[in-house]
Amino acid sequence: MTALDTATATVRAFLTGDFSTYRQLYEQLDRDERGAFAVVLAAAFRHAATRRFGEKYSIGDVVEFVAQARAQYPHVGEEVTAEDAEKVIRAALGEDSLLDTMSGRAYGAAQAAMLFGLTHEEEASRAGIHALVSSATDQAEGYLRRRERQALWSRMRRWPHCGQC
Amino acid sequence: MVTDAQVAALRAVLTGETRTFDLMGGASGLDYGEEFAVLIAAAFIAAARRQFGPGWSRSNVIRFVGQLRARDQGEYADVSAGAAEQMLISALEGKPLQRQFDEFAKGYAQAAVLTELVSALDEKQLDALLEDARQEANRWLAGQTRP
Repeated sequence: MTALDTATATVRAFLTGDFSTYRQLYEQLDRDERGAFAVVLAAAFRHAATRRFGEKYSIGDVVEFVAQARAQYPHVGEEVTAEDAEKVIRAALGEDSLLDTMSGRAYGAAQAAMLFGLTHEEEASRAGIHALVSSATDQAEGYLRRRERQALWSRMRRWPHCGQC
Repeated sequence: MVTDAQVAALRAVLTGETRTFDLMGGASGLDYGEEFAVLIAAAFIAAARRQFGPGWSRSNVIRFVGQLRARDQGEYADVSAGAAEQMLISALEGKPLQRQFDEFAKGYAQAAVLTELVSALDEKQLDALLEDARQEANRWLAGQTRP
């Protein structure tokens, strides 16, 4: 199983509410798998946020959604502030600068919580979640392949000048 | 002389196989030694001349580099256009680089351009190009030729 396969399975377990499997898988993720997990989650989140709010969203729409989601899952509401949740959604919709002062930990927690909220706003369909995760995985695969390629290129530093040949 | 492992390491760079690259010669690109750098240069020159042919023009070089950097909605815009263009022109003219660039920008651009140059080759063609590059690199290392 590749890092991406493991990451996808972990995201899927999370979004289908299979939390014991999710926790088990997440705790065993190695560094590459954690990286892949973050990419799949981010891709799924962007897709879900864009689908929910569209291009002509208002900040009020986002505030209202976040309030509803945090109220529905109050234990999450304790860990994720309204401001952080609103920022990650608005950033996914294009307002990237809102993330400048946000810690990685807060970003991850808010993103995961809001993704769960977005996929369970109405009665969550397993098929819908699987389709979302599949699409996110395809996107993540392209991104990870490019990133790996760029990392390899970064390690190539020798170019003998023709004068040295 | 260029070793099988060094050819395999270069092949891994060009096909994006990080694990193979790490296995072939250690975690740091600097571990590969002079032979590896000469092999890359020889492969670069061979691939550039194959891509552009004897009737090459600076316009074609600029367009090629532009297309590489614009790929995937600009994901490779971090490749230095200046370094990429000048290295290609240097390879096609058979002359030293006309401008100085920092080592990181050169290495990165070299790898990116070479990856793009060979992207349309099938496995056999890539193997043939790498074998030709190895032979040319060995002649170069033995002091028998200049690129």
